[in-house]
Amino acid sequence: MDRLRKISFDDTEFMQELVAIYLDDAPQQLRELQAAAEAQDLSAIADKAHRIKGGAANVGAESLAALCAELERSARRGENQVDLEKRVEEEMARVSARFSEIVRELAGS
Amino acid sequence: MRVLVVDDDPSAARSVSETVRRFGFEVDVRFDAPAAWSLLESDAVPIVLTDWNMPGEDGVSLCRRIRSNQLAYYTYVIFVTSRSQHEDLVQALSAGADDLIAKPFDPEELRARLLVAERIVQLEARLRRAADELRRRNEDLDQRSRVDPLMGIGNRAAFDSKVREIHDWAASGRASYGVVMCDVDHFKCYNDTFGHRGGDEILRRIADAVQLGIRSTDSQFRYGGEEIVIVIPDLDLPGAKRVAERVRRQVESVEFVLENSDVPFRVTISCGVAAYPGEGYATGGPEPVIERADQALYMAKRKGRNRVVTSDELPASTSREEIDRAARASLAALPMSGSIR
Repeated sequence: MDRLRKISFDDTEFMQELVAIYLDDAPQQLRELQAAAEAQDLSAIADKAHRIKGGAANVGAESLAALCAELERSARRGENQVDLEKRVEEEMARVSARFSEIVRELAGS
Repeated sequence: MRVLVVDDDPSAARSVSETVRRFGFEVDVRFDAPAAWSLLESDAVPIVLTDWNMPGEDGVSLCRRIRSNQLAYYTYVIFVTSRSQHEDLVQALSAGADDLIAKPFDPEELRARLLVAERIVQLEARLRRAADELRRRNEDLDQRSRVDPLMGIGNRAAFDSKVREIHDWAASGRASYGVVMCDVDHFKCYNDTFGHRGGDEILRRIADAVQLGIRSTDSQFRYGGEEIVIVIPDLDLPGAKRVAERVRRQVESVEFVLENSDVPFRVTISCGVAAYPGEGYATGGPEPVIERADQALYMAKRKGRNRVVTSDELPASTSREEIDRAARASLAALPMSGSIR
């Protein structure tokens, strides 16, 4: 929340908008990561992990960003870490759920 | 100042662009490098904030495009990237980036770096304007240094370079050219009678008349006080003589009435013509041709003025005495009438 407040200048509406944009984009990113994982395309996995990492870090989802950074590094090293990829998926789901809550809270306040 | 934000991540693009907007900049957003490039090609957007990793063309490639295509203004490129390795920094700067901001971006840092960008862009614009102004003034000065301000035609310096250019062209075997030296007859009398302003007016009108007599490819220059020299490309001696004769008649046909006098009068000129190649001119510059035209002009004066003399009428020896003798002899050969002595 600190990160979100900081980049939205404490503007609640803008914060909502940012989260909504993130939530809108996340499923597509997830699908593309899954497709890359299924194809065992390490280069694509690294690129998608990088992309998800950036978006997550931007809205302050630090644990997801950290997991993605790890996945990106291992994929660039040539390691196919299926477990790690699964953990990224789970963390994405958790972050999206949490953000959906935040959007509801902001809308209610 | 306009800022272009390029990022394929919509939430990053939105937060960066909103931050930029709140700091008082105008913002454009593009989600891929080709779209960003097409905007830069059509609009003057001096600051670009670009993501590095993007599907298709990445930020480094966009930056190289900006640097290798000469846009009409300087584009200040800042990478906004989570790539933070030493070699990433080197690669971005080598591709032409001006600065980097780490992702996730810090709004205050972004603002500080935008202010640096704005300062550099404004400085560049000032320098560019100053350079343009300097170039314009230089061209203006260069132009003025070649024009005679009184007669509005080329001056001696312009003649020297023109005749050398034409001579070099002709000397390479491709063409001929003629030179006509003209001098206003009895000009000193006009100056004495009408004052220098009156004399100046006469010179201007003569330049106008000469212009009517020459072809569009010929050019006239002020050679000295009341002397005009005409350069005539691509004609031989008879051809140049025809032009000179036309010029002489044009001047003769002008009726002058000066401000402080209502008595109309006419002014005449004498012309000497020489042409290249011919008369065994040694290789080298155009000087011997000009010299021959000058001698022919002298002879035209000696023969009574208001006439054209070509260099082939000159005696073998071109000392003044010989020319005087030749001029007298040619006059003596004319059937005498009461008006010629």
